[in-house]
Amino acid sequence: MATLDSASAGPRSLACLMQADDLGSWNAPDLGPILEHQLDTPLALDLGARDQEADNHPDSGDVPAGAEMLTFRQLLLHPHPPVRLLHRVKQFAKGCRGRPDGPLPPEVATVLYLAAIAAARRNCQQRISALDNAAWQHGVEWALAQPWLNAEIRELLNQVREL
Amino acid sequence: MPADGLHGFARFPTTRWSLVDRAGREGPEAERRALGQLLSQYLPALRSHLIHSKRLQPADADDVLQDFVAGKILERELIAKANEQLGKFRTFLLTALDRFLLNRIRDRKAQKRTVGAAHNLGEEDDQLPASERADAYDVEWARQVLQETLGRMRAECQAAGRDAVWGMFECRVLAPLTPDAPPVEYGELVRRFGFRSPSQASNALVTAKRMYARVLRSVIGEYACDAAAVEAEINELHRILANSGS
Repeated sequence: MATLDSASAGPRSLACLMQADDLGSWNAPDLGPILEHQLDTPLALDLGARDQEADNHPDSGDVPAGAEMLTFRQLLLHPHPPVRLLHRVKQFAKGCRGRPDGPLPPEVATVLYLAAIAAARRNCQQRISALDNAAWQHGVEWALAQPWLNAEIRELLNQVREL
Repeated sequence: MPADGLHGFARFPTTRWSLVDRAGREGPEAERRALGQLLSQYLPALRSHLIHSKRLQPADADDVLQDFVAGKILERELIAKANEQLGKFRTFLLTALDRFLLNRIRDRKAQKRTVGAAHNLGEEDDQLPASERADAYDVEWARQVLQETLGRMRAECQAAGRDAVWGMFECRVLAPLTPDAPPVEYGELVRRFGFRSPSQASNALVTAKRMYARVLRSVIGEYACDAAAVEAEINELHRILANSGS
């Protein structure tokens, strides 16, 4: 396994290691595989089990038992996804975007955020975001320009050009 | 494997120089033992200084170091002159070694040894600026601190069964610091460590970086007197390394 040979490493490398806070960040080639992995992750792993607050929510009736065992991909591409779960995915992605050491790189979190909103709009005819059309279109155009965006999410976003 | 004692880096508090003085109160033998342990911790850095700054051949450097350590321990000169208020022990030790070397050169000249031999024993150093003289020594010391930190972190991860934490640190932080070695790709990390989600992978990396920062501070804390001194030492070692070329 590759490792730093600190006995022979140059001083500059060692200087980086002396203040390693910024090291290890994900790079551009990682974003596609991270998105794919996230889409294949069961909802329950990141959203937790069914939460009490959601159960008491007026919209909770649309979340069938066991729905958290779906993967993110299955939820986003489901013809009739539970809106409440899409809302939770949107909130999870939004939370990730604001944390430098968060679970997802900000780029992947942004795509997930947009995909949840798009899925609610396309498959449930519901708006789960207060974004105006200009902001939405700006976000979608950014996402579509990312070379690592996969075909399924690209198609989903392409079909929802307006909120 | 115990966390201390890796790579010969003896563990504080038994080695901090102010405590060597305290050991002296238990008797000369205890003081000699403590001072010997302390000096051994600095030997690689002192050796690097003699070879790179003083231009000594490795074998000559070893001879000088052996005499220096033996002399200092036996004469107790180091403890008698050391004063915590004067500054860092590392700096104090370097000055003591330089003086020792200078005296050795004078002695040899007095004995009418050859000019070549005297030359080999560090005369060139007088032409170097003081900052450059200290460079090789401090770089070697920083290297030792980092080696110790990595060794302890790895041992801690292994002892706790946290192979993924060490693995992530090795693949994402250490590997890219090696020339021409890219970081291990995400997909490979998932296959290697069995992460079930990107959150798990990110958590392992964040945990690794926090553990590394904690262990680094713990290692430095064994010779720096308080938290502020630890941070100051990290900044100083970073500056020295960053200014020391490739």
